[in-house]
Amino acid sequence: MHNFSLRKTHALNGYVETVNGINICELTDIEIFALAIPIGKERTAKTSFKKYFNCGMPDVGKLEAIHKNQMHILRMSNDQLFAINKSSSKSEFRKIFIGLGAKFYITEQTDSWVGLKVGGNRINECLERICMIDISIEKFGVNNFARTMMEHMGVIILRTKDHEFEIFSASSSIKSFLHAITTSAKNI
Amino acid sequence: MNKVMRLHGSKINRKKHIKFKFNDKEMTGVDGDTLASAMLANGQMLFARSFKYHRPRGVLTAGSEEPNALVNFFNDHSWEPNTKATTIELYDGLLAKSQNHKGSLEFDFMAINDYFHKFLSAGFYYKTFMWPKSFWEKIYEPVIRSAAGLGTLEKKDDPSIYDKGFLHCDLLVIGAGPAGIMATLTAAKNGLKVILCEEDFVLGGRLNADTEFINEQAGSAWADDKLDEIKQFANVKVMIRTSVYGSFDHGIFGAVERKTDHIRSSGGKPRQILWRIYTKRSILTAGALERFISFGNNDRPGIMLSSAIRTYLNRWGVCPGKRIALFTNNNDGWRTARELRDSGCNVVAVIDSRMESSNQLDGVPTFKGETIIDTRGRKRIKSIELKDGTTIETDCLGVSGGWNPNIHLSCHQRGKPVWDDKKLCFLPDKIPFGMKVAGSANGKFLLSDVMRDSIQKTEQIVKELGYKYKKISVPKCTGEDLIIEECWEVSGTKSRSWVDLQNDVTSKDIYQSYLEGFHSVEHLKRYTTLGMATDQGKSSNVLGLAIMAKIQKTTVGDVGTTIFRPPYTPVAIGTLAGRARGKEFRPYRLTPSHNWATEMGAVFVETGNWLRAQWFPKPNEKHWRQSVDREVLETRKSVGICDVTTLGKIDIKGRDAGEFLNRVYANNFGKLEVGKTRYGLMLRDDGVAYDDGTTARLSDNHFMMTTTTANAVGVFRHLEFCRQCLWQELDVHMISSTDGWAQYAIAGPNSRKLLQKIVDDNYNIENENFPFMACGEITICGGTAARLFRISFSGELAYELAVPSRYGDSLIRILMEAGKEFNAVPYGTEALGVMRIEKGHAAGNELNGQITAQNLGMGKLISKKNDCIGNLMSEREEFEAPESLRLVGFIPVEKSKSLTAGSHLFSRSIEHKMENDEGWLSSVAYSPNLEHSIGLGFIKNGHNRIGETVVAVNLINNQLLDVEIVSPHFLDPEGERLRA
Repeated sequence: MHNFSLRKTHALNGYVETVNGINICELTDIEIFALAIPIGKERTAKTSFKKYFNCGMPDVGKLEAIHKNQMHILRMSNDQLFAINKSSSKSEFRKIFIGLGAKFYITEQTDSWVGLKVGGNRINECLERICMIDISIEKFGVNNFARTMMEHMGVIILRTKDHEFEIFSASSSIKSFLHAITTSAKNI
Repeated sequence: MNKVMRLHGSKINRKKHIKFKFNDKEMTGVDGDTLASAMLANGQMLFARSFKYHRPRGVLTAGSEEPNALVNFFNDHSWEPNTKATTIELYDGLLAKSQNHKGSLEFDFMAINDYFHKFLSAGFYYKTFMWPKSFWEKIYEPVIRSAAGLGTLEKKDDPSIYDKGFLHCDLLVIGAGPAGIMATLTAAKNGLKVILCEEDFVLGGRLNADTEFINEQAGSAWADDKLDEIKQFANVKVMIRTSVYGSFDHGIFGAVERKTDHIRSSGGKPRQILWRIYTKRSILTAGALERFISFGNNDRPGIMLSSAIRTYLNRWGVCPGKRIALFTNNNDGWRTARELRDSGCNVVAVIDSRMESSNQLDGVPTFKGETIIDTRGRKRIKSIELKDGTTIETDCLGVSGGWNPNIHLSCHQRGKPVWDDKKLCFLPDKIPFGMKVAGSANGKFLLSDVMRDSIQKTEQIVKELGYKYKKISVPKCTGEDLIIEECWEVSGTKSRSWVDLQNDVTSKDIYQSYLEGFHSVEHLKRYTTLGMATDQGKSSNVLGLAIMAKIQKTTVGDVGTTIFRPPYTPVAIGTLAGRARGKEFRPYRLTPSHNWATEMGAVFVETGNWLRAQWFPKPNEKHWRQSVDREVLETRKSVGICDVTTLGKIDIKGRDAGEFLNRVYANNFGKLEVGKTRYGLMLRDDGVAYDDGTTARLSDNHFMMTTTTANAVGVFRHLEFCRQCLWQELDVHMISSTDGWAQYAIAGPNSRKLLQKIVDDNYNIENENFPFMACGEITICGGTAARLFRISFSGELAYELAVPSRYGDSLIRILMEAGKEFNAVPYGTEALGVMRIEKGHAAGNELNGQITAQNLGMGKLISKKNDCIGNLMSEREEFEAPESLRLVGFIPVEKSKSLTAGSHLFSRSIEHKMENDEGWLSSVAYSPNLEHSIGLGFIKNGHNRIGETVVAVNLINNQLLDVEIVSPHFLDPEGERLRA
């Protein structure tokens, strides 16, 4: 009866560019889920987390991402985690979350955020124009992440390599955010 | 001429010649010159005209404290006024012009002001131009402004690029003189992460200007060696051309880095960068600035600070005169005289106000216990007259009135410096937490003391930060102490004695300020303008305070200082704005249908950060009303589609989510069935309406709240506060999903038919299965997850359909395609507004922060059973009073007339004044369905006055209009359409 099918579009149309030596690339094939820990059920949630991820839940305040099957688990706050899946096997990932669903309140956030991978030898110089936190390697090492603001926009910044970061910002304002990044790259 | 004035110099590259123009006159300098040093080397002593009297002025200093030598500087693509010639780095092709004169610099017609100086003293304008009052803005002020002042702006957009950034360190060292270099080296060797900022383009400070020796090495060479050593440390960032302009709370400093001002073209890079520096500790090593002495006609070109002469001599190899005299009250003036003589310059006299001075200079006439009372020469000093009547021919006079430690940054957080009677200067006191002051900035004027002080202070910082201190030895330094005696003002002269050269403030102005009762230092500043403008009185303030102290027969310390505020040196507005200009002023948010709407030619409007389609004009439509009327009529006739993505969407989950909503909404939500949506009104603590929206229950523990677009962030923040601070025991979790879903309103009698073409077959959205206020998680277009809400803002049979944002662009195209057979139209926010007014729905215009639920006619909505935010305060007597405002509708009695939003409402035959005001029109629109203007508004006791005619008064356009009070529901008051 219906002949219509919806086509997926990326917020930045899969933007890939090198600007003044800074590589900027939209992360197009990712999924993001927010996991909230029910009050009074923290122990159950921890056990369940270990069962499905085969590792302990990151501590509160520990600014590190856990890699597992190209997945980052970010402990955002006392009762919230973010899971970012970059692997191509989305079905396996979803199975995990279906299993976890009974122990956490899970909300898909894939479309709320857009991720940008930014890198290059001068990436710190580029980001220090808009990032108010100290991202020097000695203070903000690989796998550290932080939630902060850049150019009035909320972001999650995650260091993946010495000279590479992944930055997630709200999808509705992502063009402004991309502009902020490219301007910073041009200005160094 | 260049060769005549140029001697030797340690910091210039004589082999690299640089051509530049001043007032279109071509001159040549060398690499390492400033504009001032190059002009002096070319024999150009006349730089500018003074602020008020248009007197000829030369250069007084060699740094950023310069009050006189302000020029118009061509920077890349534009002219920048009031730039200090003493800080402009010379480059090939540099253009500069003098400012503040009519006619040429040499023959300024406005110099006539000088002859009327007796009438132009401080306060003259305020007293003289009082009558007639109307002349002030139109005649007096424009004339005065054109006659007096500094440079003028081009009044064009600044084409330069500016940027900003953030830096972090353990220790910020401010100033790279000997103390700063020593502090940096000490901290670096002890492992601290250091940022060293220096406003000059070379490091070393006074070491480049003096001839002191450190560890038997020339000071400037020692500075170069230490800089090389510092560069080896990975934990040190050296920032030259960077002025730290402000000290703020919590170890935050503002700094401006001049990136491309010293080169001809910026090459598309930022001209300046405004840095915010976060540091655990700071050390102020900004040195000290020499000050002036007030004596007759002490402002002539050729009169300079003694230390400036030494700087031009030693750093740039420029001798600024052929017959140089020195006037001093301390040993530093003697040092200048000695170094000039040793360089082969002709020193014609040293006048020392101290009787007991032991200094001598072979072959140079010396006048001890003597002062200068007057000078002669118009465009350059020609002679000086001593108090004993002696006249000395001279073309350059160096003046040393003592030194002022650069304590400004230590006072930016309301620190008050203390006066030192021995050193005759203010010293830092009560400095901000984490800051230390060392070297000359701390009143240490002997080089060895400077080094020792700096090392000691840095050692304290190293230990405070928990590092193990590795000892650094104090280098051996030459130098002599200042030994200063008071000499602020030379009395007994009939000539004017300048105190503040930049603002043409004389000692007479200070006396007058006192006589007129302006004794306080803050009043003195404002009455005379002492210490204002670009130099902020760096060479004049203390002198002015000392004269005021003398008048008041008290000490300088008792007179005190004005409050020090950032910026330390001027910061361009462009630098403060950074990249936030024009469309980059703030981020913008786009809905997923934005590209499609752009293709449709939509006209957009800013709603908060969002860009929303306002209307979609057709080619034949000439006026926006034509488009909006069409969109409204077509929607009510068949079906229209509007992007409502911007409404705030908050996903609320948890066992206690229902109870949570009961508490934050005024009406009950706990018993809302799964699959149902309910309108909710949120009150503030004081009972006033805060926000409204709909909340859908998607499962037992899962609600989806919508908020108004404008309040989305505020409501989320409010809910988080309630959750985290008020009711921690509730199991509630929320996350914003505004950006995650693209949501469209599909409204009109054919909306269901349209939706049935895309909703998957297993979902029945007929009225009996999916009635008004139903909601559900469904799939569309063959399996794509979606959410459907049967809610209506337009008053029509309507739905809101949400899909993950990635499908938003595709969905709007599909909806329009599927809607072709129904002549579906897209409609924008204007049509949305018209339809909601026709329906009588309140929106932002009504929820303005003053309106209560009772005013909206929703008093009965407030739950009496639940303890929700605002319900108790909403029971206040005034809220329930029958004569309180009520939301009603309004139509013009004469239908051809238009209502105006904001008009105030008065009963007929009553005077239109505040006490008779009965309400106002909050929203108005032209209703294409009713074919006349309609409005919503508030009027006292409105619900009992239906049918009454009142007067709508708009004082902005002097409109008086008879309007009839009607029901706010202009269309379908029974709600038959939306339930169809």
